[in-house]
Amino acid sequence: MRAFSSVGKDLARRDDSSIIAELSRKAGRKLSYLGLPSPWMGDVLAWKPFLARVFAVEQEKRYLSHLMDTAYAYGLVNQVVYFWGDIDEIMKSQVDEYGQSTADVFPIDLINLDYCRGLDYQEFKKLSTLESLITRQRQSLLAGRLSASFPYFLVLLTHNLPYREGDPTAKRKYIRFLIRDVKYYAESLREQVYTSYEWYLSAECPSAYPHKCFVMGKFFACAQRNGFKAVPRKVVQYSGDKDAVMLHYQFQITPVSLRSPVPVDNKLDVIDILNYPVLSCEGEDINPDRPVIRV
Amino acid sequence: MEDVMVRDPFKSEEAIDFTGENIGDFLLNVLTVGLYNQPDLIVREYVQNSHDAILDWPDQPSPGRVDIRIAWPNVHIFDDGPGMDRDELLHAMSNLGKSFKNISESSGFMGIGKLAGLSMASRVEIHSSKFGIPERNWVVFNADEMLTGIWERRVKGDHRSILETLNRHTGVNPAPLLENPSSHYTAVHLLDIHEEYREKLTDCEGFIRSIGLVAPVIQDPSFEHAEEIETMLRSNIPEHYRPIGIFVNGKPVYRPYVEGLSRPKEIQVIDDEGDLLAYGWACLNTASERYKRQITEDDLRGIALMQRGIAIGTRSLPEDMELYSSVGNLIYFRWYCGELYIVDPKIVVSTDRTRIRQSSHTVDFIGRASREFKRLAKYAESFANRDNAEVVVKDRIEQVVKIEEQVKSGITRDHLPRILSELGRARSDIEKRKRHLAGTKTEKQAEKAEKKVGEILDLLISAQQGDVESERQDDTLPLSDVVVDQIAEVESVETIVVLDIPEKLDFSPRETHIYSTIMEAIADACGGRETAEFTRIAAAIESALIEIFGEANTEDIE
Repeated sequence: MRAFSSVGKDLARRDDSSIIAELSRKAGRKLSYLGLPSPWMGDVLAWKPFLARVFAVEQEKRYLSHLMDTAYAYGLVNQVVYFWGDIDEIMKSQVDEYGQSTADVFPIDLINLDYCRGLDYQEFKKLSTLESLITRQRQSLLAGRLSASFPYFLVLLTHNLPYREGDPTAKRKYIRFLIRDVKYYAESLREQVYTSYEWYLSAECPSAYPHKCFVMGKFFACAQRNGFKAVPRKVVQYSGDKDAVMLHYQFQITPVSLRSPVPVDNKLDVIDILNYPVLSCEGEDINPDRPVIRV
Repeated sequence: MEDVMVRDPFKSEEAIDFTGENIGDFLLNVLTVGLYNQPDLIVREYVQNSHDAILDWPDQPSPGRVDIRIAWPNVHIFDDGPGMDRDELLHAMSNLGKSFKNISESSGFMGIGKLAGLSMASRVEIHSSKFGIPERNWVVFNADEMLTGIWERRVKGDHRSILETLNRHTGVNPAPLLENPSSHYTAVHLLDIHEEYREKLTDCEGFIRSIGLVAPVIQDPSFEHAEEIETMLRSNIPEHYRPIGIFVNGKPVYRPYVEGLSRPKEIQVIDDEGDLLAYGWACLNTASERYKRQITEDDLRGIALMQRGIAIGTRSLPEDMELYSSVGNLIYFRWYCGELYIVDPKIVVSTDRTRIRQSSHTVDFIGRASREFKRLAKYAESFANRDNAEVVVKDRIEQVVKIEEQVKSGITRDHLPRILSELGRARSDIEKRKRHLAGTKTEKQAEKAEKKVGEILDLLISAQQGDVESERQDDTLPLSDVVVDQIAEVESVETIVVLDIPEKLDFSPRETHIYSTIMEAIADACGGRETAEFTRIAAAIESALIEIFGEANTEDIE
């Protein structure tokens, strides 16, 4: 058992703190958290001043007692509720390995999915977890738990860049899928999109960029399908444990039309996705020379 | 062999060579399964260790507290005592049946208490971080594996040594984990608790109550006498009354209480040198009427024996130990709720904390305590007499007033026997109970009512003489000679000395207790002691008892 942490991760967490504080201020209360904090609970401890309830999912049964030790050592023992099992399975079945239901924990203010591994292009298991989470949020808000003190919720998502995982052509296929309606755009815009597309397929495009398109595209679609509007607050690349390249996303998700979800894709989303910068943990664009589409 | 026998057959016995190898592992099953089967008592065992650890740390930077988190099927118990470093943890956990605590300053299962959870949980982990040492260390008991293995081997007639089994199913972390430098705690994690404990552990309110009954916690602040009791205990036995904060899922645990109690009375058991052996309090339930006065919650009814804030047995223990032996009627202690903290270090509690060990010292203690309890019983008796007198006398006064109205408005000949009987009973009841009402408003009303009975009787006699005849209808008075005889009978009632059946028949305390319980149940079923139904049944029982058991004491009865 070893803590996964790095300077970059700490910087990313510190950066997250500001948007978490902002939500807490807007909601006028402390927040609920659902995530995979590990027995070290590094994220929870960093955001402790803003958290009221912590719903922790832990896959390793033998870590549960250590999770509680950490919670106790930092004065959180009565705020932490844990679920044992794989979050993907738990979100699908709504119960953990102990048979404990997750139904009552929603809606959540802050969802932090810190995967040590990648988000696979082909088996969208983790993305379907995101979909389940967002569906649960919608259901609970529709069930009357929506109030003025729930202006929006945050999803923080972290994964590594799986250089050798999955189908290498999948990224290309996905970006082609994203821009499938470009032929209907005005010519100047269409040309810019094609230029950007070519850059994404070229060798000079850092691998974080196509990944970002994939995750943002999937996430936006998932939010829209459930009547939410997802707005990215930041995408950060940092060096994680054992120098793994990690991508960290901040999404702000606002309920807009929960009862009648709006159509999935639109032009602006595609351009936003392609344009959106990936920052280093110091806040600089990791490729400032990338082509930017001007609307 | 013969030589040995011839030489010295009664020579002092030689030691048997016990080794770890010839002590079988089934002993572990006996130890662990035999400790407790109630989850609250198992948790109490760990709370007790926490309490000892907190109290033994004079430099505690904050008031000690224990946090219990129930996350079914797991329970996590934390205390903010000083914690243990790796060596201390290993030392504490690897020594079974050895307690390193001073018996007078701690309370416990003598080094076996840490195994209490093995019968309840599949895995028991004890984690600790010592104050000033930024490390976390832990010890693990794989209880299920261990106990299942022991049973399987036992079924096959096989066994391992206790040491081999313990070594195989316990473990310690290979290297310490970094911990928050300001942390200090010991945590007991009871993991994968068996299904049969689910109901009790997941009923959070019920669990809080059961922990509140047995653990060293303060009185519930909602209890109207809580502050007074706290002050009494803190100022009289500060070394022995040291409650800590205990929280279950964040909710504070307090000693449960009963509503409607009188102010606490002090209980002090003192030896010949004037040293305090036990100190406590008792509040009487002042609900009016005897059958309503009994405290309904059986876990709060009576006096709880405590040591260092932790309960010894249940509230029936004083009765079982004959602490109430000097009291004629045990019913009085069903009206009390209280606690007696034993502070005498020579009084030793059994390892399972269900009783006090017998010794000559205990016998002496029981004698002294029972005298204190007699005082409490007398107070309860006097309260009961006054209360019963109030109830009965007020009822009789009302009855007399009604009879007076009836007589004034005219009565028939048929009514007269009933009226005379009622008057007689009223006068007798008032006369018997008036002494319990000394100085009260009811006493004066009773005196007036007695006078009124006399006046009514005069009225009825004068009716016999025809004084009121003119005011009556044709079918009413004059009274016959029979009636005059009845009046004479009524007037003689006051001269009868009425004794209770237990007094008449010289019942033992137990017999008195059984008799009182039966009569109470009958009163309850009849709707009260003052009903005609109860009077009829009670009279029948009394006459039957006197007939069967009263011969030897006929003279006394008469």
